[in-house]
Amino acid sequence: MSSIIAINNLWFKYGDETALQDVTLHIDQGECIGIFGPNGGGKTTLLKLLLGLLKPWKGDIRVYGETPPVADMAYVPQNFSFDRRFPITSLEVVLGGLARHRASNQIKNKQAKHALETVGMIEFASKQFGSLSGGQMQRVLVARALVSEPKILLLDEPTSCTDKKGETDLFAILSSLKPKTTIIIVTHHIDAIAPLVTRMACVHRTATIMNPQEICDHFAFGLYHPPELEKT
Amino acid sequence: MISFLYNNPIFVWALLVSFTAGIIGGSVGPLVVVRRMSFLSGSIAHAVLAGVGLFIWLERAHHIPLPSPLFGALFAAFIAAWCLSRLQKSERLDSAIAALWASGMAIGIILLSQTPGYTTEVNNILIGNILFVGPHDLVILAILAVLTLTFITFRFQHLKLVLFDPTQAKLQGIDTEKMYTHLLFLVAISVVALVQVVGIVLVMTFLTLPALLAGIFCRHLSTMIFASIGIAMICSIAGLLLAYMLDWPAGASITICATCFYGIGKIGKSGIRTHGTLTGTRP
Repeated sequence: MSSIIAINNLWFKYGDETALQDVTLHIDQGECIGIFGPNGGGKTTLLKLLLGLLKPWKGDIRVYGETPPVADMAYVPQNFSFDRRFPITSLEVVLGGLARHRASNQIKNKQAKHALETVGMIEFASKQFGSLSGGQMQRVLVARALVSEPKILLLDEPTSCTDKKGETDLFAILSSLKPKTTIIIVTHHIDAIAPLVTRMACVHRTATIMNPQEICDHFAFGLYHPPELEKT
Repeated sequence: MISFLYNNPIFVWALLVSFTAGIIGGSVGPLVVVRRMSFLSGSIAHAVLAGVGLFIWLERAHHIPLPSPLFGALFAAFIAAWCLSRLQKSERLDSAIAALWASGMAIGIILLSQTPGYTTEVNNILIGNILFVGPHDLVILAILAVLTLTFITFRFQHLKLVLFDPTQAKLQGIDTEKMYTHLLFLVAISVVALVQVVGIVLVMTFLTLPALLAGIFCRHLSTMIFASIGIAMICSIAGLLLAYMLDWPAGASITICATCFYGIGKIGKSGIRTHGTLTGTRP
């Protein structure tokens, strides 16, 4: 397998505050990587750097050999803040994932409805997006990410508002996307994600790569802290 | 009705002007409301006085032949829109809006104080006077209306995405900053159009109330825009009739009508909701 994402000695700072330091991570085609770590550890920052929404302070990121942003990437955000009274339906939100595509409206609508069906939200297609619950909104945002059939899918805590069934359903959907789609998922639900991922990265300023078994050993006591602290 | 219009050509003229302004304000208003840019629009409206003052001062004090003060208003509105687009990422955007609002007015007041003679145009610009709008101004308004509608029609999907979720818009390859700047220029155009009808002081209410009323009943941004244009036109007719019958200023009458319609719409919507809850037709 070849690395489609290459992060080398990456640094990022918010003002004087270092968010990421010397992160090196290579991800192969079709891999599913879980990212975990404490709050403020730099997980979301890493995803935003991959998407090209932030620029590295030092170091290098390459996606398919190019500097982000690149096409064929989709993103499910963690905190989606918007005006709940915004006049937009769930179907229109999903169509937002096809803005750069040049297909006819009829084809786009068909694709968007199929994506909503995949996440079990088709009956909410014409519902006002702002009237949905947090979990339902997250599922619609997952549909928006899936609709363009991206080669790389980035998900930032996509199950933070969903119930257990929603979580199981989402992980089943993600599982069906492998190995065609490369998946990077940020989550705190390590036990639930372990069967899905090939590797996990603990991001706490820097990134430490571990296999799922190591993770289970580290977090056997329910402790949640970076592994390098446990060694000391 | 036809004989009334036939016997009152001034009323017909006022209707034509307010309809044209209504198309512009009604189509841009929903974009302003959903993006929460009402006060930003207010600052552009008040900065317009600087441009009007500059054109009148250059013409009267220095005898430089210039076209209608409407061009001065457009010039100042575009500069204000450009300044705001540069400041959009500022953490103190609200203060920048206030500064632009006040300094635009101050420049206008200073320039007008240095202008010889009595400047009737200023009153018309401040509180609006539809009858002050000449045939040339109406042509300019019509061109602005066509430009506004064309831009919104062709860029609608991208505009909607930028307004709803700028991050997703960026990921879809849309230049969100450029789109935001275009939106501010659209606001500038609509402000200048509305200043002709309701004046600087009342421009904000006309830009927001029809859109707010449309927003109560519409599920889609596209239908909200159509409804807002329709409401702006209905408010214009009702306001002009009120002004004609009671001898009130036209701009203020239109604004009062828009406010009343919004209040009725809001009460009506809560009535429907309460009725639905009581009868079990709404969860």
